[in-house]
Amino acid sequence: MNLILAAGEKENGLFFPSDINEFWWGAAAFLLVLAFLAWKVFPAARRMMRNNAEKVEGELHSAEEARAASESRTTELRSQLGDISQVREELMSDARTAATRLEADLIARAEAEAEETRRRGEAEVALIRRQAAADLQTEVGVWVSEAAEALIAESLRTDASAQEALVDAYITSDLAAAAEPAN
Amino acid sequence: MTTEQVRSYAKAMAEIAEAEGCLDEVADEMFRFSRALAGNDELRNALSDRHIPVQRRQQIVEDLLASRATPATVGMLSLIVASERSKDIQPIAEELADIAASAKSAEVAYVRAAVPLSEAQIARLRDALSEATGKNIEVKASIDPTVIGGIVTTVGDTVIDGSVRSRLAKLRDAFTG
Repeated sequence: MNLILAAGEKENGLFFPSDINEFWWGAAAFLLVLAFLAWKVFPAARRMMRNNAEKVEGELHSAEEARAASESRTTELRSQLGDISQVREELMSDARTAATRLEADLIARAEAEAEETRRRGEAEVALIRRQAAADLQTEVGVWVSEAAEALIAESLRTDASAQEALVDAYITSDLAAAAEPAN
Repeated sequence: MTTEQVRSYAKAMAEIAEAEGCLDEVADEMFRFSRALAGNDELRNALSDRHIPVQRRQQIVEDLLASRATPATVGMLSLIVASERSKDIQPIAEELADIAASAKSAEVAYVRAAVPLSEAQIARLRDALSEATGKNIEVKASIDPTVIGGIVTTVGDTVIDGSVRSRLAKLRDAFTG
């Protein structure tokens, strides 16, 4: 600016150039360009800016809607999470109850089976004991009777008077007893 | 041999013995021989062994009984051996004893004792059995060591068991439950 003022002052001492036509032509060209810009460029620029603003506004709106939807979804999910937690608690509670009941059932069943096994074992032991006692009694009885038979047979073999006494006893007692029903 | 065959043999022998006038003797000798045969496995096997000629087996019988039995008894036993009926001597002898007893309106009591019975004991037995059964009893006694002591008497279907063996058996039953 200082150079322009210095040049102007140098040429004619005025503010404008020495050739005033340059000024008018320059002004005319400026106005022509300005008119062209106002006619073609400025509306397009304004339209573009408006479109950009609308686009940004739309995007902001969409973002707001997305945010709202997201918040809604978040709220819903939180609600569902709350429900899930409740369901989980209920399930856990049911599972604990079922486990407790199952444990009690298993313990009761195991105790019943143990009692049954113990009772059966005692019965078997008692049966085996009775059977063993009976077997022992039978075996001892066989031994005693065999020993008695051998002893008596040997004794009678060498004792004629005992044989005679047995025959006499048979005649006087056994046959007399046999005669009673007949008489 | 069936019961009917045994009875037929016994009946035929009874008729022959009766014709000879020695039914009691023949029945008694047959019974004694059958008891001796029952207690002697060797003799029983010899008389029933078909590998030994019949004549040889008949000779055994004749040698055993020649001086101890009537000719009728020896002849009948020889006939039984020749007919290969040695195993049936005991039932035939018992049937013959029954027939002989019936001829005297008596019933035979088969007495088994561990030792030989005296004539006096047999007589007392006969009297006691007659009293017990109400019948005329003829005693056929034999020795049976398994009796151990006492007597077992069989009259018809009735058994009067006074043996030591039966008493020991009762004792064993009492011990063994």
